[in-house]
Amino acid sequence: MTRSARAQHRLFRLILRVYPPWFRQAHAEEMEDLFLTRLDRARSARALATLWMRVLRDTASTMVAFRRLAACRQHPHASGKGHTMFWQDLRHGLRLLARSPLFTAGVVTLLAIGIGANVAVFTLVDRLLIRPMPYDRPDEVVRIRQDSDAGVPSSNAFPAYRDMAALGFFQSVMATSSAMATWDNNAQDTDVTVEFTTSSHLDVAGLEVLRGRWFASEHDVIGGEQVAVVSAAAWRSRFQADPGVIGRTIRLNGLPVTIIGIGPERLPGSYPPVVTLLVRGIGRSGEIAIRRAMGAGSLQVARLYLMESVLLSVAGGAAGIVLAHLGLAAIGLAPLPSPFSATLDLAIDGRILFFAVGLTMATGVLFGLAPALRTFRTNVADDLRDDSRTASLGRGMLRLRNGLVVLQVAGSFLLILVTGLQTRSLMTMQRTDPGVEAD
Amino acid sequence: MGFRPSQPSAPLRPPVFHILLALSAGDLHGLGIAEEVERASGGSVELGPGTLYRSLAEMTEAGLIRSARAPEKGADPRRKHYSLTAAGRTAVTAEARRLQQLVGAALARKVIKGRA
Repeated sequence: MTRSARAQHRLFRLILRVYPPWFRQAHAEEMEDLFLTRLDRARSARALATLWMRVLRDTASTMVAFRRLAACRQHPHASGKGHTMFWQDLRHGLRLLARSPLFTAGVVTLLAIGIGANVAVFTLVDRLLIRPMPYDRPDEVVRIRQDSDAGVPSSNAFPAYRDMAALGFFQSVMATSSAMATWDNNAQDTDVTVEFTTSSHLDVAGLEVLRGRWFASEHDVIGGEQVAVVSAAAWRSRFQADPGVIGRTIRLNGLPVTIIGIGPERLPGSYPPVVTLLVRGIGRSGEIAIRRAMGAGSLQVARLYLMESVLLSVAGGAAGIVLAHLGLAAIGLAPLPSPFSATLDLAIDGRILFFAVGLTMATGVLFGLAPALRTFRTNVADDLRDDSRTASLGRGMLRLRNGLVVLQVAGSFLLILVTGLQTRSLMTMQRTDPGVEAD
Repeated sequence: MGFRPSQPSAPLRPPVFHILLALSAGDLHGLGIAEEVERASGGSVELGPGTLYRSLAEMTEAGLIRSARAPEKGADPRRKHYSLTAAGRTAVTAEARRLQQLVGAALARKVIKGRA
């Protein structure tokens, strides 16, 4: 045997390890012989490539079938009732998933990306679009901008704000301007979004500070004492919700700023439904039939399917929420356009979390149930027959599953796209001429 | 669980049919079946190792084939031989008839040339 043939033989043996032990024990040697016969015959590089492609395809399709079969053989017959059975199923479900780490990791990753993207996007949509601005009566709030010399809506000068406030035309007037600043946090520079505002901000917003106090009119004086109110989100994320932060002096852009309060908690708004579509494998009838033939009752097989599906969904959901959290944290650190800037709280909402977890579980059950139900009306002999006729449902389900995977991934991307577009149009909207001319 | 004769016209999965066909001439071990399938199909059907041995396990379970004694002395004892059961023979005959009918129809419509 040549060196290359020996290496390929070793590779094939490695591939054989994906099969269940009982199957390897019975057939590995013969499978190696078959492979070596074909390897010996493959003289050209092209023939070798074809051989390996076939080996991989063959292994993949067989592996999926035997992964389930192997699990089923070890599944004991139903014994005990209620919670005993549940723990038994849980143990076997976990063992089944641990036995095929690649499959488990793949499914969990897919679910995590799906759930993560959806939770992140819905949190963003919720905070940026669906929930009103962080004001008590958002429909009574107007934003006034002055055109620049080029005719583009732009900012107002501070004296202009004073004039507007003095008019008495508005119930209350506030000025705000956001910027990035460098926070010298224990000799470690961190970029943060800051919003410069007037003491009247809270009147306009109609909200209360969480702790400490808000700016007073004496702080509106230019050149006065530099004070800051930390947003509730920043207080939790950057100061670990330490109440002792009030009165502390921090350095922003090298200047000392005293923290006097912790910003208002946002009001809960309406919540969009989280449409998180999850996809769990729908087993092909062939595998199920063997499992039944080999002694596992329909009920045990069905229960195992459900348990496996739910376990995968839970793991995927948990990983997805972590992903969403990390994604949102990254977005939260990025400079955002006003009016989102400093008041934006991107923590994952409890209700969005509830929806995500609920739907994770529901889809886990749903997609586990489909193959589970099929175990009750399958006959081994039928499954040796061509899928295209007697087991057309199995093939249909496979197609359905593939379709759902595509749908979920496409849906997630679409959501991200739509959110991006809506954020853009919201920014454009801010620049729209309301048709009101200021004298 | 036996083979269901209630659906004699349902097509068999191709690997199952090929294996049954290979065994119809006599007992063979797995490697022999793979070689026979390739030879009989003119090299167009190559059963993968996983597909072959998984199918053999399934078919044994379904009663279409069974383990057999090695036909000649001095055969490698590690190699398991298989032989057709009565149910297996019924199944392969039914499938062959079904295919024959299809080929007959194709010939009659002159889709392919040959004796009808």
